[in-house]
Amino acid sequence: MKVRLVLRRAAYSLVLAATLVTCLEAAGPAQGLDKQSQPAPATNTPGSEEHQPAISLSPAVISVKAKPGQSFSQELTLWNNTLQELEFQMEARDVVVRDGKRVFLPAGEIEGGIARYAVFMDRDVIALPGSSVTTTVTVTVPNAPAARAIACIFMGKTIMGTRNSVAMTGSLGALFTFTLADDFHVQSQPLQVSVDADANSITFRQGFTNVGTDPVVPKGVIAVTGENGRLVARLPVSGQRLLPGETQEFTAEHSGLPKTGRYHATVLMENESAFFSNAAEFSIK
Amino acid sequence: MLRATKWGMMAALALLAAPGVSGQCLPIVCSLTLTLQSDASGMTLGGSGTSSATLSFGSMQAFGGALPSGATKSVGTTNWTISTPFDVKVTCSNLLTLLPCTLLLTPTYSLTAELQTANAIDTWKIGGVTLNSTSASTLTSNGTYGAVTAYTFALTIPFSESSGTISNQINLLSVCN
Repeated sequence: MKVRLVLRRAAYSLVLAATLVTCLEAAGPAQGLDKQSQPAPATNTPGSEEHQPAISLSPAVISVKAKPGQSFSQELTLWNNTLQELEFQMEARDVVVRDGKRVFLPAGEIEGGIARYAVFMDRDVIALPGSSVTTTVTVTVPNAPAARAIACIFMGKTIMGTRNSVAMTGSLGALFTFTLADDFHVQSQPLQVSVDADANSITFRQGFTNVGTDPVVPKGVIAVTGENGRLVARLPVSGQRLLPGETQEFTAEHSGLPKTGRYHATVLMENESAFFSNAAEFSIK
Repeated sequence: MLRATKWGMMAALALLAAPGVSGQCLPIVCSLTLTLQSDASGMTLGGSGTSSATLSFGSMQAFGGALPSGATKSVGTTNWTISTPFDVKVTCSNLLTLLPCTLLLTPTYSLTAELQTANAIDTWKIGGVTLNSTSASTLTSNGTYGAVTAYTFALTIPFSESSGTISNQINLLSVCN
């Protein structure tokens, strides 16, 4: 009887925990589509680092999984942790890769751009000192989108100082990426291995190009095995977002050198259900 | 009876929470922060340490005249340039450190600059990148969060330009990668 009671309590706790986790995951203003707002490693609160005046925008990255024709809304909040009232104009730009670099193009400049279908609840917003301002953007994915990312920008309009000066104004943009076809294809360049005997370290460099149509954030590990097949080292490779057409170098460093001999390095990266791998041989003399 | 009610509530909550959005962190927990600062070897920015700042060079001339502290002047054959470094700091933070959030964020940011008003006579540069008013010029596409990065602002004025006031606004835009 006692065992049954304990089991029942355990089951109840599990259901409660699972429900809480699901509630936390599902919370937020997402409406209609599958989105992921992606935070950086935890460090501090917006603009409060070292109590330094600054502006902060949250969320910074939103990953949207959608189909053409679907719409979604997202709240964007800007904190003004300065002593000055700041004015911003809301603006959406398409983020595309040109000559290997990301460029931010005004809405409507490219055919099939998504930015032109971003509608802000407020075009102009004012953030009072020590306060925040929130607005909502509603984005409709066009039928044949060419781009896979937009930036929704709080474009700074407040000019400081006099007219006889050079004024610099800060603006912040939230990156929205769109996964529309689950087309995750990555082309890998040869895995480069650099052994630095002076620094007593090995650096692994792996270039990846996104040749699919959807953004990817590959992350993974590099496994180093000896001639006998035994695992010598396993290094995590941090993820980096690759928009379609974009190339990035992923690096991992191993401090310390293994004993003299030949080694085999295998890099294995994953993005959702897609896996990418590459390998290289190197030796320690 | 009480136990049955508890189980019922749990089931209802689970059903309510399950559909729709999945695998999502609370959007409020991540934020991007931008700060403009004076560089130790540059001019003192008006509004340093905020998101808006000014550089007041005062009255300057190609030959002779006073030079503001932290500014550099170089004179070429057809033009002259005034420059000064300033610092940019971009951080990305989790606002609610107690919430575990394992979703990935690319550890770099892009920083672009754009002139507010067209200027076909003078050349405006930041970090060696020429600015214009029609498109955003990329200063960095892989900036590191938390690092204070110095950029040199440079304004090149041709000798053919008549004396007068030169002013403009530069918009610095930061977006997570």
